[in-house]
Amino acid sequence: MSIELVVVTPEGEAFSGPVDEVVLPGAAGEFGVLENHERFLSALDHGCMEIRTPEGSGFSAVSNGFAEVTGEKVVVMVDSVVEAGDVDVRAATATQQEASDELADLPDDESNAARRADLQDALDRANAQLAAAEKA
Amino acid sequence: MPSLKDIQRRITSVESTQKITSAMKMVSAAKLRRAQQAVEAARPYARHMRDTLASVAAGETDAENPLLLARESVKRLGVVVVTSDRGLAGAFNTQVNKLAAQTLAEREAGLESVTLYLLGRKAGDYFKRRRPDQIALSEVIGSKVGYAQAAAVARQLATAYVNGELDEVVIVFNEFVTTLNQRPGVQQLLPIVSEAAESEEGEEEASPYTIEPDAQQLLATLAPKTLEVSVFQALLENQAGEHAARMTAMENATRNSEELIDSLTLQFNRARQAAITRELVEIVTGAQALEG
Repeated sequence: MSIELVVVTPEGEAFSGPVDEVVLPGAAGEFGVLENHERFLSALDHGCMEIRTPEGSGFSAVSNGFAEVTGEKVVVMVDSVVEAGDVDVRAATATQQEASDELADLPDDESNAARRADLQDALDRANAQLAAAEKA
Repeated sequence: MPSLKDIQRRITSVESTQKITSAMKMVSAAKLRRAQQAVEAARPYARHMRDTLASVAAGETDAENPLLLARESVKRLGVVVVTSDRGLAGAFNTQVNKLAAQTLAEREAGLESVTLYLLGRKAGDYFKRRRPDQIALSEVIGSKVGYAQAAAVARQLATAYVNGELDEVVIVFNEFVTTLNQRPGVQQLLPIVSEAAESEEGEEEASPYTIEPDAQQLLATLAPKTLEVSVFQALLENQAGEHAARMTAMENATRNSEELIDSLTLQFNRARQAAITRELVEIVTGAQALEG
């Protein structure tokens, strides 16, 4: 009763092995993958990934990427993976604060679009890390 | 015939050169280890990314992305050339620059325009003198390859491609095969080629994927990402290759200076022996003169 999970980032393979279930932050909502899941492709948002093995659950913060599911294998491709235990809560809280403050001050117009997108990205990332840290 | 002092001076000079080259070799070996780890770590990600893109592109015929669409005739070519910032790495950079120049020379006849995107100081130096008007971008890479830089270049290429300023983009870089072997090669970046047709998985006629949010949207994020990853991969390969090439070059230089020192030492000993013999002859001759 297990499915093969592979998590890759540009820095290397973050996880590889059989798991009971993996829950991923899909672009259209969170979804869980069990054995014999239908063939499925999804974009992923910043969020919390939960890996369930017989030994228990592990949480990690992942930032946007993709997941490809075939019947016996799940491949998760993301920019970065931070395990809940490794989250620097203080740094993430500070980033969250700074990003949301600056975001609130920047007027929403064309010239700021790129900067706003960057800030939003940093904010989402920090939020995901905090959420993962909280769940663990 | 050089005097003893001259030979001694040359030996000292070659010895200090040897110290430098062997230190550089050691530094490159350490950097190579890190760069090699980085390039090998990034490979699975890049491979999965290409596979996924291939399955999306193969499964959905109605989903299109401008980055995947090939132009009927290629009039405007973009060339990305990746070299290192520093020299002293044997033929490493020259190979890439020559290959790029050769590719351009071959294809130029059918083209209206060529645009160069140069990454690494050596590519910049090479083309600054030869094709100054065609350079759109010339950047140094710096001591550490960053994903952000690759992403920025990829975005610039994608924008130019979508706007019709470029019809095809190729990248020329040294692929890191082994420490002793870096292979310069030309790869097509845009339109993105998906290898779905030839892959083994295609044979089993896999059922189509359920795609979320939908194929069109997924492609819109996946395609630019794949491009970014390709550029990033090239930068990593180049970095690992640079250190490997420098290590080999410096090893050869160290060995050459060793040989030079040996032959100079031999010369020095001969000269010394000759001087001793001459002095002896003088003494003996002097003594004989006194006796006589």
